[in-house]
Amino acid sequence: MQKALKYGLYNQETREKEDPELSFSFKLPLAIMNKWDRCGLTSNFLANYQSATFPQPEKTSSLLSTIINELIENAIKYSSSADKQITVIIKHFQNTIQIKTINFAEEETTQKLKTYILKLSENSHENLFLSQLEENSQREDNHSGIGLLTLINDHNLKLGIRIQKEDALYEIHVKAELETNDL
Amino acid sequence: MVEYGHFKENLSAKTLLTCELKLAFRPLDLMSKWQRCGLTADFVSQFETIGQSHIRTKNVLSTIMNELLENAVKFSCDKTQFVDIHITADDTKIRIEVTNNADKQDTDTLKSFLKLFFSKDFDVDTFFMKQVEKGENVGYGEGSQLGFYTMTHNYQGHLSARIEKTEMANVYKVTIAIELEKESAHDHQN
Amino acid sequence: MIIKTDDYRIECIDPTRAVIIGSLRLPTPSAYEPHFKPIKEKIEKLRDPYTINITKVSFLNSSGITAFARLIFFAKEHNVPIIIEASETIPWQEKTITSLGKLWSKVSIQFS
Repeated sequence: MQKALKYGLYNQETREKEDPELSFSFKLPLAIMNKWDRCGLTSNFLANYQSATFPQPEKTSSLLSTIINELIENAIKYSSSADKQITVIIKHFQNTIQIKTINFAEEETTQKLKTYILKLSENSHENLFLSQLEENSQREDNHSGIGLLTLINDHNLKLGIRIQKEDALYEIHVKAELETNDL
Repeated sequence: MVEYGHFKENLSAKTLLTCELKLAFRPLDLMSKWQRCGLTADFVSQFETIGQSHIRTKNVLSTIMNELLENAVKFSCDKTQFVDIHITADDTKIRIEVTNNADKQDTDTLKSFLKLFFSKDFDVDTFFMKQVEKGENVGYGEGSQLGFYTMTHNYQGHLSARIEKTEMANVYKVTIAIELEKESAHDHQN
Repeated sequence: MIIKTDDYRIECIDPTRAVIIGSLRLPTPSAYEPHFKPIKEKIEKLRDPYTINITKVSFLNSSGITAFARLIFFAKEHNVPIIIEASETIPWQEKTITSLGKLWSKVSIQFS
């Protein structure tokens, strides 16, 4: 088996051994997620579910929904067109909320993601954020990864990406963690 | 393994699914915040009916999902063990399947209810009267059976169930499925 | 008295009439007791019919249906006729409230 490509949080996997306080996993069929409304609906639901135990549920939910939506849209963007499912898993550890998406991608989209990871590791997030903004203003499509960058910048989000070849496709794990204090 | 009401794994394999959704959650988390049951039920119904103007379908789906969820939470013997929900839909039908683990006592109560439910001399009106006159929910019996009444009698859901042994003594894997014709879910609109 | 949560509201200031609004999905029939208690207190003091308006109750789970049935049995004990104002456009009401009407001959259901 080929070695997985790891970035960020996936290089420090200690947390995986901890028991989550709350775990919620969820499979979304890709074929119907193209109805973009379902993305927002799903993000809102997961965020509301998760934030129910927080002292300011509405505020928490709003931020969580933004993050989850970004991750789901990201997973869709980097998915193969085949009828593969996207999995979203939310875990609530003592002081951390972890959101993870799993999806399958083809060679070409995986390469794009790899380039993105490379940029992430070489640049400070702020520089990258600014250069992406600049680059974006000259591009037609919205697929820039700027959403995740905004979240990293503004909300102290920690990101991890893991790419593993699975038969003809690549299995992509994206994991984001944020401290409950920041919520 | 025992099955009731012609239990099938899936909707007919010939049809193309228009929607598939899987969820897994821990009963404990729903017990700590009971509103999560309703929240999940509403989400599932919205997810399935998005872009459609079927207010009735949405409302009925949410009602049924909520009943099945509440049952699964109440009768899971290990509240940290995941409950699985699997929803599939094609052009004409929606199927909701909920799987949880239950202890022997609750499983036996459920079995005798299902036996009665699928027997020839099951009288739905007498059953309803008996249910509402009864006391608190104590097993798969009592209040939860009223849920089965509304799901099947009020909304014409087709009920089926599968009960399997697990590796653990006195712990059973219980799967309850409700299949709805889309027409009946929004009958007055069409 | 008004009982209010994020999901639902029970108003029974009027001695002959209660209005219930929202989505009621409490875990057990007995969980409804404290919420329905003010309604029972009003019924106890009445001879005339008591009206319960549920036209804006979008959901009531089976535990709630049991609790509602108990409310009807309570009214029956005190011989206070019950008028339920319901909505035909909300599926659970159209279906289940009709069943509840069979519990006692002095329950009348008015669909709007």
